[in-house]
Amino acid sequence: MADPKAEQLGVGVAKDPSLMTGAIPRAGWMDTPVIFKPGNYCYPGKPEIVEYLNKALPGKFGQPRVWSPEDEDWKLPENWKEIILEGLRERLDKFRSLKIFMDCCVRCGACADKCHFFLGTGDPKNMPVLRAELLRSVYRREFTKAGKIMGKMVGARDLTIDVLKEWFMYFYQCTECRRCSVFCPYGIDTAEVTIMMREVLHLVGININWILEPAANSNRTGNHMGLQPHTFKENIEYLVDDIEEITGVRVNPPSTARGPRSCSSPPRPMSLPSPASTPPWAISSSSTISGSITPGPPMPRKAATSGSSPTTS
Amino acid sequence: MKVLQSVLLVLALVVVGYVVSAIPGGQTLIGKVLPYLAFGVFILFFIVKVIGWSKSPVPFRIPTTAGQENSLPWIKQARFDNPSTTGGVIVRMLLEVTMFRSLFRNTKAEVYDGPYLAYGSSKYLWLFALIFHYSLLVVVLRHLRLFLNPVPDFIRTLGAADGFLQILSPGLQISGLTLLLGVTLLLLRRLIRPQVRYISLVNDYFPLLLIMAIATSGILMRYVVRTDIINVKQLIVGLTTFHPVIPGQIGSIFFVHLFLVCCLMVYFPFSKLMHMGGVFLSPTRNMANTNRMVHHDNPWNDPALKPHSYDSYEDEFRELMKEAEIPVEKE
Repeated sequence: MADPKAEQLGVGVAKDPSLMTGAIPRAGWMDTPVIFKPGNYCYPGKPEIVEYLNKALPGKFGQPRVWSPEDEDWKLPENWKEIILEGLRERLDKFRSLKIFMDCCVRCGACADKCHFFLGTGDPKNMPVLRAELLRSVYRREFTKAGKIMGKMVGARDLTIDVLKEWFMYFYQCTECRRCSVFCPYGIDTAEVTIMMREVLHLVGININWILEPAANSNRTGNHMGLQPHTFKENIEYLVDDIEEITGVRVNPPSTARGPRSCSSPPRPMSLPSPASTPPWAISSSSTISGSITPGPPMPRKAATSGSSPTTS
Repeated sequence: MKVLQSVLLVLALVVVGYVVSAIPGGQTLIGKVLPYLAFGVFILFFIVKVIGWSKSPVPFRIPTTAGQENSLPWIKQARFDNPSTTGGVIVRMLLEVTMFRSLFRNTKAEVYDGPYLAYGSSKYLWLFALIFHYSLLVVVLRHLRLFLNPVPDFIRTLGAADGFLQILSPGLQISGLTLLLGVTLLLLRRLIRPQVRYISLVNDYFPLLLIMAIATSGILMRYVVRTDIINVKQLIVGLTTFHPVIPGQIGSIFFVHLFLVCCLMVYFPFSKLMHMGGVFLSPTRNMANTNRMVHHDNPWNDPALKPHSYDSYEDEFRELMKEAEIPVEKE
């Protein structure tokens, strides 16, 4: 399959029939299955990465395995549905925001053309309202009486494997920018929804490596690239050389100082256990996009001992 | 299709109301029993829902930042779009609840050849929503004259203001018409805008159509198929004083109207209409953005989760660090 060129894509965005260009798809969104093809999904987490994270946060990342979204069989645990629903219930009890976001949407459509994923694709499921509706439909079925009794009539649907695949596709098409929330009359925040849903998907081992590996790296080495201390030091030295070459000034990096607090700004990921204090070479790399909002442990701060912290004294 | 289903549903309710009011004992059911039931369900489940929401904590202070946050003194803060004080939050909520601030912000995006993307102002939804909600508020308040005896002054004043045009007999009350107008505009918008139409469910059309039917039956009752207002008032005051009566002859249209209102009350707490309560409780709007001023500890943190410590970092890389002449804590 030939990859489309930028010009073609540009013309397509403006001319092809899509919700952005005013065409209403014939099939309802519940009857439109998602198709995975090369280029439209991210690669799943590598088994060794998932294994590492499972050691750090036991039970949060599912079974490490080799799988592909293009496969029919995603090698999920047999009781995946139970795990997902239990994960959902737990988060509904933990986050008032999620409960209110599930109940309050009036589908006014104010958020519809605010999402850059929608603006760029015209795909109806990229409207924030519909992205949340992918979950809300299941929420209605499993957590509300009306949905249990009246089903599809009130926009409820069962959690099937196809729904799960759809979730994987669309909950990852969100950069957590929260623009939709600005325009929503109730402040419904798709970022919170997708972050929690990625977390729920993690429970059954559905994940993407593009997020998990940097997250694992940040946890282990303090930087998302996974640079080990000696390499990190080398990198800083190159930069110092460059600075000297250009400006004539030799900068003295704090790497020669001893102890954990020699760089000023510690990374504060939202959930992964952070290094107790910043490794000397760490440059903060936020892992908020790692799809993790469940409260992580507070980061114990080590008091800087005298002389250990030239940059923060 | 979904519109049609909703239309049929509402028509069915109208027919049910009409038929029940015509059979013996039916008027007692709709006039004496159903209002209590419906009101009870409405209040009870409204409270249940709100308590259900309040039971879940708000672990993170992540309000929507719709403008410049509080920063250095020479950077102008958007005090109400990104409030950092309780006062600011109160103003933000007031603007949101009474003026629909967020909808006023609405834009529309369109793609043109090139391709380029153009944004324009789009205040229709804001306008329609304001017309609808304020009309509904006035209509509901105006109805209090039927519940209270003597009628409080502010309701008399409201009624007088509402009927200031002084045309028709009985005098035309503008809010009734604007309510019908608002609900029609919202419905048309839902049908015409492709994006909104695509996402609309029966849950969206049904309440609009139900309110439309309620407004229509009310207007018909007042101007066309007259009912005896004295009898209506006696019935309703009877309800509020817990001595329900069915006084003499009241037209079926009144019972249809009352029946539809009861349906709306029962439907309310189980539906998206709960946005009435949710708008006040939405965590992204009712918190001050103080993240850069105050350290917020999350009391729901899992104490079992241990962080990856510096010591284990050093343990893993000690030899490499020594080789690279990086100072270590333990030799």
